[in-house]
Amino acid sequence: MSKNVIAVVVLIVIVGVVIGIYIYYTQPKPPAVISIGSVRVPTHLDPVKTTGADEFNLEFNIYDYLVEWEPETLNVVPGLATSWETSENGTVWTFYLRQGVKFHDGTSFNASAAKFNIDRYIEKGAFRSGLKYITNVIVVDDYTLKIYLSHPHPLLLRHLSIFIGMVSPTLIEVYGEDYIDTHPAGTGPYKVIEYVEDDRIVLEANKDYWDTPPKNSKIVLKKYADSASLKAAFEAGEIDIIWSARGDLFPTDVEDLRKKGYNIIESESNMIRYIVFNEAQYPFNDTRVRKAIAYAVNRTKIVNVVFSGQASELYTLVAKGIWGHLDTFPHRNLTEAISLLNDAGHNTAQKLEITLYYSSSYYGTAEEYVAQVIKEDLEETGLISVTLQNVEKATFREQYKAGQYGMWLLGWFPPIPDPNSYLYYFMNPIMANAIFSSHYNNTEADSLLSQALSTYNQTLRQELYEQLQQILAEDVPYIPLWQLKQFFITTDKISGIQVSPIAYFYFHTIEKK
Amino acid sequence: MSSKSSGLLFYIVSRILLIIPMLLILLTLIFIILRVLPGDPVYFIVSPQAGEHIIEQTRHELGLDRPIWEQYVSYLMGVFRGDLGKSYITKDNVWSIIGRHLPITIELATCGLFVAAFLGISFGTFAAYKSKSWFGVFNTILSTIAYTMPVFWFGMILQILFAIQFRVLPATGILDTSLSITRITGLPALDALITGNMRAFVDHVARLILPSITLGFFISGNINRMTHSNVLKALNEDYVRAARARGIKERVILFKYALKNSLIPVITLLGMNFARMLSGSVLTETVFSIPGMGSLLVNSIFRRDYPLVQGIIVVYALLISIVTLIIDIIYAYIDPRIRL
Amino acid sequence: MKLLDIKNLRVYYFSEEGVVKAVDGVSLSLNKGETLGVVGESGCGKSTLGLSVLRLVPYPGKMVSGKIFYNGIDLLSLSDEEVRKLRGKEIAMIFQNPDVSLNPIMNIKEHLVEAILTHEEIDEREAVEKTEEILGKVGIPKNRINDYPHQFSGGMKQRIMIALALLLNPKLIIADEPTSSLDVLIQAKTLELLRNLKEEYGLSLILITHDFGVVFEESDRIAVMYAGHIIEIAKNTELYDKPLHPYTQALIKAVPTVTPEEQKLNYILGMPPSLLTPPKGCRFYARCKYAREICKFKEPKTATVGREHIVKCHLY
Ligand SMILES: Nc1ncnc2c1ncn2[C@@H]1O[C@H](COP(=O)(O)OP(=O)(O)OP(=O)(O)O)[C@@H](O)[C@H]1O
Ligand SMILES: [Mg+2]
Repeated sequence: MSKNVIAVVVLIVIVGVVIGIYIYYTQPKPPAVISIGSVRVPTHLDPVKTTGADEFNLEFNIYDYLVEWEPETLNVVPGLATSWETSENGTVWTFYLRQGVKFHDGTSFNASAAKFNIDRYIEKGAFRSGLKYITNVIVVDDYTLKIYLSHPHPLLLRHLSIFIGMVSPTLIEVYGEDYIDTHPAGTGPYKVIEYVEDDRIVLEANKDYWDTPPKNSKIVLKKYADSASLKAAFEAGEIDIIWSARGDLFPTDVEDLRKKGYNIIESESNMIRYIVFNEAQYPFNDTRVRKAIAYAVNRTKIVNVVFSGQASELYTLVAKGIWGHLDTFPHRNLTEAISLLNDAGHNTAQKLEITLYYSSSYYGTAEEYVAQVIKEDLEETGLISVTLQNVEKATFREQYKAGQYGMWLLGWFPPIPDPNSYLYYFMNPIMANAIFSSHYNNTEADSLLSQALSTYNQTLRQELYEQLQQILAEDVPYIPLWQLKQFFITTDKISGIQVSPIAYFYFHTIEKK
Repeated sequence: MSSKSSGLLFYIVSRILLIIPMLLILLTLIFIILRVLPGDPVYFIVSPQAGEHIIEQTRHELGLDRPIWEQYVSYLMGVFRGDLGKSYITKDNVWSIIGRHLPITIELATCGLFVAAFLGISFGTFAAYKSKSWFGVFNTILSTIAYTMPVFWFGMILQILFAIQFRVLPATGILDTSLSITRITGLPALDALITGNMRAFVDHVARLILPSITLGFFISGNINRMTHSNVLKALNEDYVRAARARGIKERVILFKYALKNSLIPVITLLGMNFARMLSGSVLTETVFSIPGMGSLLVNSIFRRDYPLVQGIIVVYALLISIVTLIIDIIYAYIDPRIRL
Repeated sequence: MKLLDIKNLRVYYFSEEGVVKAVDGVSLSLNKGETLGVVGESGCGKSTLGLSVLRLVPYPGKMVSGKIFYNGIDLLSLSDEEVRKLRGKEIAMIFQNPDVSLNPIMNIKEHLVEAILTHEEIDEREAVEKTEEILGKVGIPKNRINDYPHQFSGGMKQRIMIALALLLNPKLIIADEPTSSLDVLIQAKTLELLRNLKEEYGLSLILITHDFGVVFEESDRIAVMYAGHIIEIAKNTELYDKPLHPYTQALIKAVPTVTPEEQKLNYILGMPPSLLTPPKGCRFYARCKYAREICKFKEPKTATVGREHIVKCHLY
């Protein structure tokens, strides 16, 4: 009796498995999918909430902006606005909008949709304080939009091209604000068809895209817990592309994959790494000490020893690849460092004792080696003794903001590719204090910054920013150290990856054989 | 008989009632620990580039600028209304986030349990049977390794061997990126079957193999040891000798006499191992990038997503209480000597 | 031909403390239809001897030398599987403690049916019938056939064990203290049942016990064991009337008289020797009234005195 039952069950299982395998092999294969693995995926997709690079990046792929930019050159190009003009005094901008564009939910894109989004951003947007210069947005007709500014602002086009993704207004009206966190509808090249938090986001090509439609039909953005599992998944053939935007993959893992013959595309990323000083703390209140440290650090060693060459030495705060970048900081010079320290009254008998704070849980294990290298370099002067202090990620930011550290390692990757994004926050006294507690205060620098932000004259702006970078090298409130590289590691099947120096990744050009 | 079942009912009810103060204490502890733990959640929500005003505003929106006791009271009120709050990061309801992750962990844990039971019981039994041979020694080493090894390390070894070297099994995730499963019950395997999505089903099951083995092996250590010693004991029982004297076959003696009699305590052990299994699943999910409760917990702790961490702990505590209660009840019914 | 013939058997336990010479050169035989009582103090090796016949000596015990012939077959030369087929079918065993001799998670029917189906190729229904029949014989009602061991009393369990032993009509039953864990009344009943069934089935029986009363009651012949040796074998009455070995003599004196008021026990002073390091000479030497110099150094040979009366003592 019970034996019969077992026999029947076994039979059913066998039949089931056979049928299953049959169906498995006879069902049509799903369309080619390109999977991109990363240790990070966005946590939401609403442009007004976005402050982080992961969200920005995905939003570029699902939303369009009034104006856009070419990935390689970063030049501004038409987006949902086909053309635009500026009034004589530079405070009124008129945008002529593209016709016949539809959101993924079917809503038509027009001037009131654009106004809706700009207004929404000005009201709620994360970076709205930087957009206070926009005073009014007016719908002239269905496809003409006027934006009024309080004063000329050279970053308007950049802001429009990065902060204000065009979301379907109907979607928000019908489903509410939170809905678009996971179910966005833009006009962009991709629609989000599946959103599994902390796991994957599935994008489907928008067949009705107004511009050249994507060269692939489906993109899956897959999140991995860490470098090791990302690498394992890639080697097991589960993903086609590893995107390591900001040092997500260990240098040794990159080298290993290179040795195994995978394609590796590398370029600058927009992330810079530097030392911050708290000028309110002894001995960093002494410019000579800060300068001496700037002479003593050995960027070549950091780049070669710690990152196996997978980073670039950095001698200014403006990242390479951003216009206006100018090397102003000195290369290593121990004699200079020693004489500065002597000037400041430090000698072998009375060594300068300093502590370098860093957070390896925030920036990865490599951070520990960097700190070690810096310690060795500074101690090579014979006049400094460095204590290293590794701080847990969760407390790091809290503590440096509270002014608890005198010298620490930090990173920066602003969304807007403009020298202002690198210099303003570091050199404007209010920002420098709010963000870094660096207590840096140079009124000349501040006025140069304001000047550069109120003109459309590119040559003038460039001059001003170069001047500012010179001042930085004089004052040394920060010491730029290195700039990260981004890596795309792919199988042979993948081609067409377009690299942008600011580490954003457009998916529509990728092709899979 | 009836006195037994009414006693049992009383027992169950009192056990369930005890869960309430337990949860209250646990929640209070977690609430305090999370707030004592350094790290301000706002810094994980807002990127470093955002200005101070954004940070302050976010803090206000999340109610983090209110006094701690006020936050505590309002959180507790919510919990007793069945509302675990919203995630700081995704703003999604904590229940629905857990609802998406829990089934995956349940699947993994179930498979892990089967692997653990299979490995632990078969090896333990065989080792007891052959306790004087090399296999006994080998098995002692094996079960000790299983009990003490780092899950992380073992999972990675399996991954490198089977997914990268031989490429016979997938390395990570719960589904190929080209596939998707329509959500019905939340259990991916079941949903794939219901919707007749065989391709996804096969792929999903294949992806469960390595994690299940990892988790199963981890838990098998305990079961192995216990089975081993129980079977060994049972094989020395008089009824085994008597059965041998009747000419009963060794195979039958081993399974029907020794093993079956050893299994009741082993089943309890499985129940007691439930908490250990949850902790094992956290690591397994990390190694294999499985979006279950474990990786959810890790992520939400890293991001100081207080409501989510608290919610997960509540669910874990409930699960553990329920499972131990069920095991107790099963045990009471299996073993007539237990009077509740 | 003898049904069972044990020749110079030595069974040692290779325990951690040393080699326990539990059965140390025992020769014994059993005729068809005969009941042989094996009697001796606790620890003298009776159970080990019984288990040897079924080749069930547990680890770390080993049959070191000697031969056991059953119906002319050399048991020690058989394969494990061949021995297994004999167990229960040809030779059955009943153990001392019925409370722990049944599998607690199997009901009675399962026990018996399993035993039948192990040895006989009949269908399950027939096996159940046979089960009911034999249980009837030992006085277990049909309606209790599905009950589990813990639902029975000790006496009932021992009757079930007897049923299990008789089930396949074996020719030889080894009963190792079948009644010593039962209370006196039940003891008597159980022994009576065993005796009757033995007659009915025409069995041979080895009855192992430390109870001289029982052994005189039940056996045709009696073997007295002392510290791994058989020191005397004789017919029941012969042994009772004419015990030769000083140990046997002392034992018979020690048997309590039947009426409780008169109970007067003659204990033998001292303890049996350790089987780890048994004395070189006679093993009873230390406790023997008649001990002489030779007894200390030389192990006595077995002597046959009269008809089938064998004794291992320097006195003879
Ligand atoms: N597994 C074992 N390991 C070591 N020694 C053993 C083992 N089993 C029995 N012995 C020893 O062998 C000797 C004989 O034991 P056995 O059980 O045969 O005696 P017995 O005459 O049946 O005693 P009892 O009347 O107590 O049942 C004893 O000294 C005992 O200690
Ligand atoms: Mg015994």
